[in-house]
Amino acid sequence: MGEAANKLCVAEIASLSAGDEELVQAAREGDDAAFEMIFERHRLRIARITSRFFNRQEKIEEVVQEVFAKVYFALGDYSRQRGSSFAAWLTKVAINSCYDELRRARRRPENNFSSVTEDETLFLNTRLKDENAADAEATTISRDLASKLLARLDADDRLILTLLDGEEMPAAEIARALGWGVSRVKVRAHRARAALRRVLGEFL
Amino acid sequence: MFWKNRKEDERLDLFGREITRRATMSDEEIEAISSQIRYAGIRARIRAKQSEPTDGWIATLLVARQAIPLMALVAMVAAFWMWIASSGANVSGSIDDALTGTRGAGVERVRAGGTCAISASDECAISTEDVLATLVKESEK
Repeated sequence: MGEAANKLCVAEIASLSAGDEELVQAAREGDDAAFEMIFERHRLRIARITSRFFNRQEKIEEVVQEVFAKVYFALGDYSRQRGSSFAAWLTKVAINSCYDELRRARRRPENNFSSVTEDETLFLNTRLKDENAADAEATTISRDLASKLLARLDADDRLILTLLDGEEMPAAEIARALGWGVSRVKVRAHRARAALRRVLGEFL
Repeated sequence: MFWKNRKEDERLDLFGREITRRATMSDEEIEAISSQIRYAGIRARIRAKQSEPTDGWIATLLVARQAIPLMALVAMVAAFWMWIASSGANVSGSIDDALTGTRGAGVERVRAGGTCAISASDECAISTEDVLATLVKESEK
């Protein structure tokens, strides 16, 4: 997602925010149709965020449902006085839900062995040893292989790298979304990059 | 050496960034998945959460149930220590007797320095009356 897409995302949030407050108020008062409207307005964006962390359709659906269920019960906590729009608050809930699910997935032993096939190992080895290949030919990496490599990272590392490089969010925005300090985000990003280098180093 | 390592790290970082970008779906795929998510599924999830017993005394009972193994362990440790303490009561009991002035079974006071110095028989025992009589005699003198 490039700069243009990122700007589009910000514009999208701004346009969605108009009218959200009324819907939130109505949903808080028990209007189910208003909550359904909130879901219809935001589900694509939440699905997009979720798809950055998970690549199985069922998992994305499950996490999106969980996000909206959490939002339903937390509507009372949302307050515009906090200075953030509903869309930004929803994004925060979605990111934190993805983070929780990543941590849960890491604890399940069956998810810790995302085995890289022999062909993929050979492919990585060739690409990583070729000093000229990293830039141009890396684009041939399949999504499946990329997911397997990222699955080897800790939840924190994966979260940070996904938000920084996948979503191209600035450190300050990540800090706001996660409730962390900016310096913590930067330190974590530094460690995450080192961790990914170690993962790649296994194939050299 | 340092320069070479740094260059290598930068190359791996570049590769890593590409991997992170590659691990995502296309917009079309995301839209397709998003359109399949039904509000009914969310309503069902909300209903399931609402029916979970998370309020009042039921929640307290659930928490208490989780504490049962810990409480059982604490009770076992306490019982063990009580058993240890009771087996050592004979030793500590004599100390208590000495402090409180009570006599233990078969233990009698003896007159120090006399024939009864190392005796524990009845004839050598000193009673409260003996002590009182001695004190009265001393005062009469």
